[in-house]
Amino acid sequence: MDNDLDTMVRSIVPDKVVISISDVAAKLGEDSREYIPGTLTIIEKSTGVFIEWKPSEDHDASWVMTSEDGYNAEYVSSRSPEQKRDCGARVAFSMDVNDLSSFRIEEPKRGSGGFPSIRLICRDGSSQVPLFFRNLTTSEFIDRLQGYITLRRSRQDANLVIVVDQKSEALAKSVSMLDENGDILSDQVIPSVLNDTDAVTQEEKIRLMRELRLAEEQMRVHSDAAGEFEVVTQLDLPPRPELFRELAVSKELWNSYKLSNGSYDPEKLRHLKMNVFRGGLNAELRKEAWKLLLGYRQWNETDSEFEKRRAELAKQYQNMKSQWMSVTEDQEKRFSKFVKRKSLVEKDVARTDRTVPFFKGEDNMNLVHLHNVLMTYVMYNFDLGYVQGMSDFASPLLFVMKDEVDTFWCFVGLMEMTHKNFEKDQAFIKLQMNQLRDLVMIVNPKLANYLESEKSDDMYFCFRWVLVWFKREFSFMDTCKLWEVLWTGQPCPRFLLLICVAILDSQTNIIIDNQFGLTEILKHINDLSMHLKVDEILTAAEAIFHQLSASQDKLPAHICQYLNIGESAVSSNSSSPSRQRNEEQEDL
Amino acid sequence: MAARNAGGAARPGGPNRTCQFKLVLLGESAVGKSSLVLRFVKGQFHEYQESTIGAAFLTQTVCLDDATIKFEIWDTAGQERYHSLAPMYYRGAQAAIVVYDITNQESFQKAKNWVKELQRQASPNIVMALAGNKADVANKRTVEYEEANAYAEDNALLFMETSAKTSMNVNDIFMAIAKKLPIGPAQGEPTGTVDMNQPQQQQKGSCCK
Repeated sequence: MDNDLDTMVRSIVPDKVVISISDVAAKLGEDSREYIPGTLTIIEKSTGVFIEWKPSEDHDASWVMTSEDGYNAEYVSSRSPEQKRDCGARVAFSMDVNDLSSFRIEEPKRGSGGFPSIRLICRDGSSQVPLFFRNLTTSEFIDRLQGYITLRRSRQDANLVIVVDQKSEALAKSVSMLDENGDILSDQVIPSVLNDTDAVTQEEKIRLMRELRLAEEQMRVHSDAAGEFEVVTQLDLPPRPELFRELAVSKELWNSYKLSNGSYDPEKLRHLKMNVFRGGLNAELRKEAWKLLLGYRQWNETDSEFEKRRAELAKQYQNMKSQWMSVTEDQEKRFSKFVKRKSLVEKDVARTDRTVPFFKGEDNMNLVHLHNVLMTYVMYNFDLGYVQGMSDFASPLLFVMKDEVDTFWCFVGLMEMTHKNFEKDQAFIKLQMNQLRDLVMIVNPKLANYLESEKSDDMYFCFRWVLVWFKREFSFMDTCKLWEVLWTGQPCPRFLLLICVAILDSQTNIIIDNQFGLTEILKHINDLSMHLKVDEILTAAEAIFHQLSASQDKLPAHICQYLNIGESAVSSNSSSPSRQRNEEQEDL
Repeated sequence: MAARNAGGAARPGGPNRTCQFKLVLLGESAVGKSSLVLRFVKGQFHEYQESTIGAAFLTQTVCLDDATIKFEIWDTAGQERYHSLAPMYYRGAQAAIVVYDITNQESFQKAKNWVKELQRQASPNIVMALAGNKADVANKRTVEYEEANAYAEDNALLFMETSAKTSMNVNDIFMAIAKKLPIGPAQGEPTGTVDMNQPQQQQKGSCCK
């Protein structure tokens, strides 16, 4: 009945479209070249003012695919009209303008042929898909928006536009005026500010707000110095160096490190790993290189030695595989621990990466292979068993290896690096969260303090990042790129945590300027998924590493220890203290 | 320069009380927790919905006669291994949906454990609902409706069989919870209700469809 009333009210007050901009395309994901054409509108309804984006009806007409490097071409061309409709419907939205907290606006580089884009960020921490204005201007939309809400550019980040909550800003301002003038002025000041009269001009207001912000910030810094973070806030890191990603390692370059018998020159191993660290691998090299990076093949092993051992490992695999395959239904009745593990594997295989073409469709044999690998791992490490998240680690391995035996032994190698994440007590996850918090405190104390003030400094909003090494945050191909970089063990252990720091650092203004609390932070971080640029993040993380290692004598000992830098490093390496880009000291 | 009133966009009609509640979904893995939320919040269903790692957070607003209820929904990972994280998510929750799969007897046992845990550990006034999901495959049913219904009655739980796939009873179970939540006036503060119309709280405009 409530709905009836609602409908009645709506029919009396018709919706009024204030502005409708066609040719606004939604981008599906950061590495996607897919832009779904659609229309952006601002509508006044009886229930409020809404910003809406809908995909255009005619999908085939202007479904755009640019192909800068084209490796996603197959994903796109395989989409049927139904899938397109589905994609469009999935990202369509309608939001109350009062729920808008801020938006990021990106202008294309001059002459790049790109389009300006806007990404709306909601008060609950969620973000809409980025919208690209193919008519090249966002100003008519923003102008209209300002008819309902007040907007202000973030002082820290010119690309971030914040919705100003007039009431609270005015209140804050008047409070700060009270502080300055005693309480005598209260009667005059508050009404004049709150009433939005001409007495205080917009510019005057903005100037006052700026001053207020500055004063706040000074206060915050001041209290930091007095508080327990004294040591940290005093630590001035050197400026972050500007780095760049290098080209992916090519087959020719890779082979130049190889000796004639197929093993690798031990003298140059570090150099090879640094090359992979800085540029990743060409896709065609992965099948060969991942075996080495994951420890399935030894670097000093010749081709014939490896082939011999591989045959032996294949036998072991078949042996363990037949163990679980031969368990009969009757046995299962008295083998509950096995049945439990089996059912977990089955549940997860069915829903792992099913949107990736390699795993798409019913009766896909790759699902059987994935199942076999994971079940055999259960027999290999029955105590650990199968834990959710493992299928995320196994699926790219199968995609690259295309062979059960190779996938399995690569997976064993990968689990060597990550199995502690899956232990029952979760102690290793907690440890990493603590280390992450310490690192944020050093790299970005402002953010660390903010997180603490929002009771979010347990860092659990990064749980997914750390558990499955960003598998859920990046596309399948970007995940491959990120993982091979991490597997090099360069330039330091726990580089994963520096990647976390780099991403959080890039979100500082959004989190603080939007005043996100615990739930909003979690939601915002979750929503970054598929909208992160892997190359930018890797260079930022590397740059942070250089900042830290240049300050090693000032860093707390425990941080040097787990990043393995400086004199307190566990490593017996005694390298010179100078930290240039090419001098890496750790040996893993 | 543009004319506007201080609170935000103008709306006709008197202020409707908007209350915010935290709701958590618990239950064994792959029973359909994320799918129920996705259906309720976005009206969608993905056959191969990926497993949830950590927790996901979504919001949805529903309208009652006299109030607008904003659900802050925490969708959790189901596997036993991540059980230790659960208290973090149900702490302070005013509502919970414990989900099982009607084709999986064990998931029903797990659901009972969750109910027990919530009765012991969660807020004493928590509104609990039991959802027997995957009702669209009732031909493979191993948990009888009567059995679950009797259990729910004994434990004063709301109970419905649902299907995220067909959307059967999905909105209904959330609405039923909304109706049981205390939307009392501000006198006293029996619950953790946040009245969004209070000053300094963000004013909430949207209403359900």
